[in-house]
Amino acid sequence: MGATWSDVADWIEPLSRGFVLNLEITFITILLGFPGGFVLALLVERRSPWVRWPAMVIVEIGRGAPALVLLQFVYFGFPQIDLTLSSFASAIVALSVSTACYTSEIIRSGLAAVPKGQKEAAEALNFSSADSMRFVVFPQAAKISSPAMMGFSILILQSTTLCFTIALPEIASQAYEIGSTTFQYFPILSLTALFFIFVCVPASFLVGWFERRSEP
Amino acid sequence: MTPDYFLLLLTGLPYTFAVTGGALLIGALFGFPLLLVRRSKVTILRWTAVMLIAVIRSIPPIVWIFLIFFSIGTGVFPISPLSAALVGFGLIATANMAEIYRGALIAVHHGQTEAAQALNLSPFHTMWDVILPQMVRVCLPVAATYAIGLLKDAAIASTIGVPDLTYQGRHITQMTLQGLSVMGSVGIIYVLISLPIAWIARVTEAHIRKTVSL
Amino acid sequence: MDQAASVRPDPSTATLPEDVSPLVRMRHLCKWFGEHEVLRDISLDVDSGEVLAIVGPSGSGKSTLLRCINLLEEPSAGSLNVGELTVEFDHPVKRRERKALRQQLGMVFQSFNLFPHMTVLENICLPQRRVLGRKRDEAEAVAKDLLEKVGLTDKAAAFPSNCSGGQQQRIAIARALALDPRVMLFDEPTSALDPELGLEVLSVMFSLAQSGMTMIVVTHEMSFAEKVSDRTLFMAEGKIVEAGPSADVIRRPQSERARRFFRAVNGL
Ligand SMILES: Nc1ncnc2c1ncn2[C@@H]1O[C@H](COP(=O)(O)OP(=O)(O)OP(=O)(O)O)[C@@H](O)[C@H]1O
Ligand SMILES: [Mg+2]
Repeated sequence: MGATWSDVADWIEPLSRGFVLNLEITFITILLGFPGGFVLALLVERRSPWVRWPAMVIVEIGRGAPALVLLQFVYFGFPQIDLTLSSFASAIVALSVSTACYTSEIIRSGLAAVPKGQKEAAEALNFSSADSMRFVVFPQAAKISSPAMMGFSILILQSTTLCFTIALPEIASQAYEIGSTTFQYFPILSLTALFFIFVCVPASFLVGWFERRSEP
Repeated sequence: MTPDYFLLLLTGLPYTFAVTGGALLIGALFGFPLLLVRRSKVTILRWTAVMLIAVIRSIPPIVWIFLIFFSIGTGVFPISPLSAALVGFGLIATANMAEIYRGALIAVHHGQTEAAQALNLSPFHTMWDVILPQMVRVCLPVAATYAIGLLKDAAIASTIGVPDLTYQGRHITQMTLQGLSVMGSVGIIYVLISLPIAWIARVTEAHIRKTVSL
Repeated sequence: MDQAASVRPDPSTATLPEDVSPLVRMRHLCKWFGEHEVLRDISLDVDSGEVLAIVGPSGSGKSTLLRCINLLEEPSAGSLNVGELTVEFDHPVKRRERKALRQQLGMVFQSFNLFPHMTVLENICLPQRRVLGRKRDEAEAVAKDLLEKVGLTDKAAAFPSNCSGGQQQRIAIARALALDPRVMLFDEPTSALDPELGLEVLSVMFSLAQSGMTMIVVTHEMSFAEKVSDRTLFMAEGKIVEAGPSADVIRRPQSERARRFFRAVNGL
């Protein structure tokens, strides 16, 4: 019983390989999910009920259903309609949708926090509504929302471990596999936890610092 | 999906509620002492609490419950999946509730402590009669929102074999190969459960605006 | 003066004879907010080069009237004519009409509304480039020229948050002027400012008036109304109660409603 340092050294490599996959999925999810959240935020604010209601239903379902369930819905459910996605693609689809729905609310409150006078000034200066959004409202909303968006990015990284359930060889799967062959669950899982501590603890302090800085 | 399968799905509900409610209760109880340590005058205690909270929150829930279930469970004390999930999510909820309490304390603090001190109330009564009642109200909507988050995180308990909603969903999917409708229903059920909690959050939030000096 | 005097016999008329064509002509303008009628049948003419002051008690609809002119609020009925462009409010305003109308109007807000994430220079240049399609160099030249006119050459690179309220409002005026409007609308431009800072802004507005700019100014500054504006319009409950040469309206109001108001503001 008991793992030796050489065991640990052997584990670092597969865990790192897994963790890179977690980081990749996080990155792509942010790349797709944040713009998706922005689009949803705009759709939910539209006056036409034909646009607003479907967008609101999507947002509510995407936020209300666990990411784990979305993941399995895509991975196990889509084959039923002859759309078989790889586990990597399923992860991207499910996590991006979930991210878009969550961040749409963050972005929406950011947009709402931009003083009304700013939009009016842009309007009075005859900006087109696209220009008003692009040059006046969006930059200010982005600044207001950025701490929350950074905080959410940390949660995305954590949620990529859910891909364990769809057989993606990310870090949790790697750890589980090593654990189930060596029965050294405690050391291998602790090592896995360390990966996240090293990334997420500093990141969360950074977010906290941003939050405090942007508050007053 | 046949009615039989749907009923089987629903047998998962008590487990989903047990994990969510149990963890929330643990968090609500232990979060408060953790808050007190977090606000201790002793620097080293304060920093220990800060680090503890940050570390607990930085490890993904699935890693936490694996850590508890597989390493402790296969070791000295055998532990059931449900207990492992309760311990894991209870721990996470404790860290999060401590932060929620802290946010509420900061929100209320402003002139209230000073006013209470000016009235010569003892520190205990300042806390008990003035700050706490307002804190509870400020907490409620935030805690309700957190409860929804916890409900969804609790689905992760299915990975160590807690037969909750998600577990039954995957089980039925494997039997029927109808993941779309089965996991779709599971998702909808989660949404339906979270709706009344979200409603509570909204109502209490509207209420506190009137009764708390923020 | 003579023309204005001829309007005098009916102090509640703010219009010129139909054969004269003013720069801004408003006919039977109404504005409802739900059940609440905020503007009631407003007819008003503003001649080219004229400075019109609008005064009246809080809630009388002054801001709403101004915002209806550049369509920040859409009037419920009536018609509006600025220069060659006429907009009838019997149908929802078309985007092209709105754009063409606003092209001729500059607006200055009570709360300045400078864009906080841009420097002063960018605040003045961006609208020129996006709306008029000016090149950067050209826009900057215009901006620098205007900054000099409002006495703020040294603030070009600053952010609005590093400028005093009076400076911010002067920048806002420069920003509006950069788009070459034919009419400038001011909604209580000095009421968010200390009297001293307000004076800086008023002096910029004064020289603007001297240069022949057409201006419509909602104000609480009776001295400005009296000294700078050609005509003053007194509004109450969404109606024009009195209009005429500023000195007459302010010094010798005809209606009881106006007399009460001016007595209160003058602290008599
Ligand atoms: N967007 C709106 N929705 C509903 N009612 C409004 C709106 N804007 C203004 N009002 C109402 O219209 C009336 C006139 O408002 P307005 O702002 O034009 O008055 P004002 O003369 O500018 O007053 P003040 O001197 O206080 O600025 C007020 O009763 C106000 O409550
Ligand atoms: Mg006003």
